[in-house]
Amino acid sequence: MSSPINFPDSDVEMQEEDSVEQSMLDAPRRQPLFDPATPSTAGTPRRSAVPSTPGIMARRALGMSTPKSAPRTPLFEVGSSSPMNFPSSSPKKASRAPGRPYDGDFPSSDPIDFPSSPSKTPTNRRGDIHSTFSLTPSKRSSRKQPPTNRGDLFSDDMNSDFPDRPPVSSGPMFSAPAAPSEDEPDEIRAIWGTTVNLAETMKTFREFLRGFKIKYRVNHDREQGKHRTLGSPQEGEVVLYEQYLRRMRQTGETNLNLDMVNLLAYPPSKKLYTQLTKYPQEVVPAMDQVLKDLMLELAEQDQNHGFDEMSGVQGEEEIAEIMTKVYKIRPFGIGAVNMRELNPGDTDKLVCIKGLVIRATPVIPDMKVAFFRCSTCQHTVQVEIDRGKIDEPSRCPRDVCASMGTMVLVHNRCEFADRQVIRLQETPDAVPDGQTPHTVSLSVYDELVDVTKPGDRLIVTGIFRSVPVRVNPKTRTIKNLFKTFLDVVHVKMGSSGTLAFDKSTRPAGGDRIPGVGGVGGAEEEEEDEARKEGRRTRRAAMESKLKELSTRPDVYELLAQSLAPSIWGMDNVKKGILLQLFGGTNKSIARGGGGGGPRYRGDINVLLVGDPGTSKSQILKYVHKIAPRGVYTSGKGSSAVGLTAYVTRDPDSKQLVLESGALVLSDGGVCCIDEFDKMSDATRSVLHEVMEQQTVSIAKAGIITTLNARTSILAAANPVGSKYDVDLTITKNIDLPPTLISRFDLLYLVLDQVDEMLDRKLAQHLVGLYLEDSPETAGQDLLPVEELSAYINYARSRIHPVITEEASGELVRSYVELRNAGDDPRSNEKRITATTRQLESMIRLSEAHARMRFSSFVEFDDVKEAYRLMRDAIRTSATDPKTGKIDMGLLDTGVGQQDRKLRGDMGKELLNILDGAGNRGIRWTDALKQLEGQSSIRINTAEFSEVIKTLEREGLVKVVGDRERRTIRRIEGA
Amino acid sequence: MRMSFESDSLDRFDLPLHEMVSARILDAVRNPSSVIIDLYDEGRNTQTEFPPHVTSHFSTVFDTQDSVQQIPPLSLNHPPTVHPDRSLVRFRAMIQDISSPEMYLSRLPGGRCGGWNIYQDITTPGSADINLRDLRERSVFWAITVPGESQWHAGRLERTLFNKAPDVPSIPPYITSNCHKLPNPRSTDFGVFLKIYDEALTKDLKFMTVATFVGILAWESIGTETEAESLALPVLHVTNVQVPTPESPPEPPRNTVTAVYENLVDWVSQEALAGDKVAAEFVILCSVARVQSRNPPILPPSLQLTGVPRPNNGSSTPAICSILSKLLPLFSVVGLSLEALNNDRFVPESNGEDLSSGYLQVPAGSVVLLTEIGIKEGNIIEKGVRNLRDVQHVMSNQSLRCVFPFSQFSFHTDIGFILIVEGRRSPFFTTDISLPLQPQIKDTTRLYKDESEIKMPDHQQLDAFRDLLSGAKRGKNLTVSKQVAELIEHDFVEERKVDKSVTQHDLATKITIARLLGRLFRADELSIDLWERAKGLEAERKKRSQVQGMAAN
Repeated sequence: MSSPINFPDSDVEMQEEDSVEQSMLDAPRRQPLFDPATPSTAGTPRRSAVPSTPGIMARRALGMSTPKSAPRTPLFEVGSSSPMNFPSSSPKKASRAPGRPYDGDFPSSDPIDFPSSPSKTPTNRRGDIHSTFSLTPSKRSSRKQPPTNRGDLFSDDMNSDFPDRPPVSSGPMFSAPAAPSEDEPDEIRAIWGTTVNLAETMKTFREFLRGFKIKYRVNHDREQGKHRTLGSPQEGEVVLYEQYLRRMRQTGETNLNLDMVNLLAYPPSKKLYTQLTKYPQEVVPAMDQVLKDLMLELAEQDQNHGFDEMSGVQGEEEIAEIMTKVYKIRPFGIGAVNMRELNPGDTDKLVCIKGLVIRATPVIPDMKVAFFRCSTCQHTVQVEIDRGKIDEPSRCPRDVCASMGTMVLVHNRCEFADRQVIRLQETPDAVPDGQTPHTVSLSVYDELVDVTKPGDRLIVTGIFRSVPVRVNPKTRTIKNLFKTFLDVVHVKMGSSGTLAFDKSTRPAGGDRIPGVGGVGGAEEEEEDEARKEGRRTRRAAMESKLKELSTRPDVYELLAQSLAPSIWGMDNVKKGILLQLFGGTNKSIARGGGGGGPRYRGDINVLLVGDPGTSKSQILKYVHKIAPRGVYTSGKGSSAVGLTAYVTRDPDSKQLVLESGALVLSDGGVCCIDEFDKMSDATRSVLHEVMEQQTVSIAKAGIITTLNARTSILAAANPVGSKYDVDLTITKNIDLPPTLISRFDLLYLVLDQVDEMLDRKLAQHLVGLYLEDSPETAGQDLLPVEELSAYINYARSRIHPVITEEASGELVRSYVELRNAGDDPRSNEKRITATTRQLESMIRLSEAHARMRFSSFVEFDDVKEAYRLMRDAIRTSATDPKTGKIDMGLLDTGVGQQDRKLRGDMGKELLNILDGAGNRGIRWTDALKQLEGQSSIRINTAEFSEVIKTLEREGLVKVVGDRERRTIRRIEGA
Repeated sequence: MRMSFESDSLDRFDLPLHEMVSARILDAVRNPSSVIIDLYDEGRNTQTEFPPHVTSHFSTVFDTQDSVQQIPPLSLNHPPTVHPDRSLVRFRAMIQDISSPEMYLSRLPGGRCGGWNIYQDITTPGSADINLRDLRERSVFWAITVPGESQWHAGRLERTLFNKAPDVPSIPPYITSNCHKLPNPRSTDFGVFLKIYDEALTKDLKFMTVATFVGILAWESIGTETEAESLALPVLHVTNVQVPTPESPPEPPRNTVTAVYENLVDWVSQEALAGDKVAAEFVILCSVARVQSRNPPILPPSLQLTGVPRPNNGSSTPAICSILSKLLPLFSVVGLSLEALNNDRFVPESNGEDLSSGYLQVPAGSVVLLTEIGIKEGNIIEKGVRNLRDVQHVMSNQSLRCVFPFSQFSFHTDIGFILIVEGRRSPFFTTDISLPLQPQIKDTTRLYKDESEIKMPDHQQLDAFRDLLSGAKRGKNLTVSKQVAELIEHDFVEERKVDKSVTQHDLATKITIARLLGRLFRADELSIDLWERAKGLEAERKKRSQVQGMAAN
């Protein structure tokens, strides 16, 4: 019966194998077996490393043997037909009456199978399906029977059905053949009450698995307006699911994640999408069946082709193992709907919702097959679960015995599956204004049990169920109330919702959140998600609105205005902060030492210094509300612990756990620190690391770790004497180490100056604001906070501008100009007005400005604006009050050029005095007096001691004695 | 199966016979269930959804204020225990929690009506009789009697035929078993489940919405089949909902407004604030403030009255509490003490799916008075610190942050805050306005007295006070003429010339005061007089603060 010639599609397969190999040669990076686009099985969160058949845990717990340990005897059934066989494995089926509903044929109802052989090949009893169809797994038939014999449906099999299958060498061809619609009048297994022909469905699915190539998806995406380019045309020719199946065989995985968009993308299988959505109960088991058939077929095919790992005994074992396994399709990829959109009409349909796990029960052993024994005649009967219920036989089925009420449940011979009930709650972003979140129950089974824990955000695909609530468990009376829940077929861990973070701070593919259990799966997660949702939610509307907004010529002003509408003026400060919110792009050098250089931060740090009562705190609070992952903390209240992270003992588990502080929490966002100057030195020192290295190092209670804190910092500080003294330099006005100050890209002085013009304008603003009935419509239009926040999130996640040639030229020019600003033609001394730090800041600001425009290129004007902001900030903060000139030295070292010169002069003079005083030296106070006598300006004692310290360091003088008796001596010979 | 409805709800009340009561109203009130059944049977063959029929029927029957008043009220005075089972009641309540919707069978086996729990349980031989296509969704809310609603206000709204039934003390207050769902767990408030069948009705029902719900009151055991003991709780199967539109109180003649206001200030200062008129004015101003705009935020100013002496003995509830409860429709007092801070809930918090209430879950327009008089030395534990932070957050942002498992939700509030502080400033909270109390009479015990000791003005006067305040709360904003705007600007510039420490915050406070004064006086435009008066008040307040500051130094 078996003849290899009858593998009609083998040639094609061969060719395709070739093509796979070809592509490997062409593009060595791409390894089809470990497709980087799909999560590796190793990375999937699974409870156990060993793939478990359903119920394995529960059965182990009950001391029962698992089917795996005793491979069943599938061969014994070859040729024999189970009453439930599908056409693929049973030609006998063809004799069935047409249109006969597919009922009453489960193995459980066939008494002949019992009691002698309760266990056969593992039946596919999926807890999530409760199907009336209990499909037998396929026999190892394909091997013995050529495909032509496997029922008429597959008479011509693939090759002939696909006459126009694109040859490999040809370019991408997107018209896949339409599904052959051979009507099989003898054999129609329709889903009850519908015209869906199950055999047809199975055949189509089989074709899908065999024929789907990545190019179909690419084409489909293109139609949906999403573009993705493939590395090479060969990439598009990869038969995706065959790859997956091989990988499943190699890894022992039994679940196949099926992206339903792929069903839509492959023209012949389009209708499967609707069928699967509408009748998952029937279609999923059918698909499981096809999967297993194909697993076997592929294994044998590979064996025949002499694949390495499939040769000889190993191959036989491999195939035998496949026989024992239960394979499951886990469909996903339908657009997630809001939980509150689920309605009674969705009952028993496949739906997809998103939410937050708030509670999960422990594992519940769920009875799948009950084992009854007649207490009179010892006859045993197995009863399978049907729609969540097990019907206890009222009488012994043996005609001889037939005694009533003698059947007793034998617990340890029943089969159980793992089950868990999860409560899923809506996330804040999905809840309409003024509503509280809804909650829904999820039932998860088998591999999906314990995959999630409370606090996880999930995207689940499952079948929506409604079951009546009984008045009490013992009666048949039900309340007019139905319990609803989801039988979950696929779980995907979602990423954060409101806590949007800058994705570029994450390593590529680093913390990928894979689909759970099994092979195949999510490819472009977030974007995909956003797109799918976009189809039906307001997100799409929002997106187009944002895009429209970005084209407005005054978008910069509008956004800056909306940032803190109740604060008048401070336009440049608002603009600087606005650009901080957008941020520059993060760069890292991909090549070079150590296989990847350091990461250059794109975060822009801003410091506001100024008089009390100038709304600094208000600005911070606005930003904290708008910023992605904004965290607000006050320097006064926060210790180093509160900013970084601390270690506590979890009250429940008594385990040490690391809790994140503000800086870590705002990773990828903005951390607002008020009262920056009130912070203790220890706390502040942490910021040095954060602002340059962007990490936080923890060494506490035996936990030594480095956490990422890739955060922009917006800080506000008050001057030392509560009022800013314009006669002093900024470093003297704020009690902060210059090293820290220099780490801020923009430093703004917010001074409260009494200026009649400004005051009048301020008063006008306030009068208008407080006395209008609805201030938001008053003249200027403002964006609501949500919209502004959405705008910024969108820009941060989607737009990564690149610097153009022109812009880079302007950057260089501006930098040189800024440095030259220090040149004073009247003297030959050079002040430093800009350092490379300022250049970096300027680059970040230009990038942020481009991002704000939704432009993917940094252009001339972006740099211009960045330069303007920089100059403005430098002008206010780095102006030496003595000379009125810009001097970055003020920020970098805390000492201005003028002071440095003064000190030098003072030191020279002091040496002269000392030289005159001879060996005994000169008293501290006398020296000061003498100097003062010579000098035209008053000598600052602090400055004086600073000078002496310098001279001491240089080894020119020595100070002996202390306090009043301090004497300064000139060191001889020096 | 049909339950019998021997409702005597009307018989108990002395219904005046001269009232012309339409038969339809009587029917609906006497036997609401059979009205629904009749409606259902009539429309059995139509394909349209049934619940909107019920809504439209009941809202046409009860379309006037008079007809609504013929429905027995469910309220503190008429708790659920006094109503016969399955009678029609109206319930003025605030939505405290919104549950996930439930599914029910809209058509029972035998083609009977499935909603409004007319037939409670279904006995079925098998699941075959149940057609899952008849499943419909109903919304479930938990509504509580409006927290902090003053008795006089509730009485005004109840204003029914049944008011004649004297509030016999023999009706024991109904103590709900879900007291964690009340903002003040020690109050006699109670809650009721609302089941709403018509989706259109739920459109305007949001968290903390206040509305009048008309429906059939029944007692049902809530709880799943797994729970052995389930509690019987009152459930209102809603037939129609009235979300109140703010009714404007009778507009007082303009010329009397000033006199009423002065009388009010006199009365409040004399009875509650030891003769301090400025304090009385600030208290009144802050109680009529409301959220004017959220973006940019122009929120009601919060006030702290500092330097309020401790009571010598007896009650630590200041007399101002009783006075304000006589004047304001929605007013709650929260006595801060270490015990309350450390143990009580101030903002709602969700445990699993059940949202527990907190003191600050009060409807928009409420005034909350916090007294720090009861604070003694001691520890504040973590919960206390969180409570303080949450209260401050509501005060400065007018948004209620509710903690849900692994997430947080914010809800808009509109609460006026008045703080009574013993020291120079509140150790816990920062407020927009801080005013040291200056008792004009030596006997500070007059700040604390029982309600009975308060000298009440006559009814007419009291009503005038109330109308003045509620009118001001709802009143529209005033316009400002160019001339006055210039004056304000000029004042500010001049002030800054003299005193550098004057900030925009000072100006904002002054404008706010002027605005509130204008609303009290029913002014359309900000006049120079009003501005001067506001300036005067603010100057007085500043002076006091400086005096207090100097005294401390």
